[in-house]
Amino acid sequence: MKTQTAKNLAYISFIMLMLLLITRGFQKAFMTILCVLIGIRISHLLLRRIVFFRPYFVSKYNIFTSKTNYTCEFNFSKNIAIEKIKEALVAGNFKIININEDTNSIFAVSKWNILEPNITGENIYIDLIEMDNKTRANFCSATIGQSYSFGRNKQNYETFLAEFEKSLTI
Amino acid sequence: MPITVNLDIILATKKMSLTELSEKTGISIVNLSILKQSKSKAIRFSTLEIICHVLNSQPGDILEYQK
Repeated sequence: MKTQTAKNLAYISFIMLMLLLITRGFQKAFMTILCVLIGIRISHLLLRRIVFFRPYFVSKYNIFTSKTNYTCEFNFSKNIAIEKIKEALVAGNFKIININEDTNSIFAVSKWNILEPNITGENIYIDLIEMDNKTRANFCSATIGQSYSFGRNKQNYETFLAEFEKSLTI
Repeated sequence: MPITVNLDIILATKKMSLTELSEKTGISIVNLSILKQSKSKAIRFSTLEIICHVLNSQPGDILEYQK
């Protein structure tokens, strides 16, 4: 909550600074900042599918992404859970990029909808922990180059859960 | 769960493995395992039909209601 408040304050200060720069005739400084921001956004889009950059995208210090974590538990062993999660992700219109069976983690991305140009897709990171024939899944949805998720992170989790439930009808 | 799936008992009676059943029915081993452990949410008639056909049994042999 504190982080969110600090983030909001930072945005408001930033917008006020930008307005000040325009009104005071500092167009050059304004354009430089704008170019830097566009550069950051483009680099995010280029790097989003590389697993190596996961710590960067999910870092709490990264103010250019919005992260939401959820935890759920499945009544299956890890191997069955992985297969079912894969099935649910594909059915939920996510694209699986990488599955690391050593670290029990799955990396997927949500598809970009051209009708929603303000939404550039999210990265989905799922970590699995097996315990007593049950599997706990830590689901993290992170927006790319967007500081606000506009409810997309929650929507991704709900879609995933709904598809997982559906996949249990055999 | 009051309704249990006796797939393991029937498979043992018919001397058939889960892999063999998966090959003959076209249902994945993962789904059959979930079914066998009675952890599925629901079962389609089409699934029940193909299992009954392959195992030459009745739905009542596979599903059992326990009070």
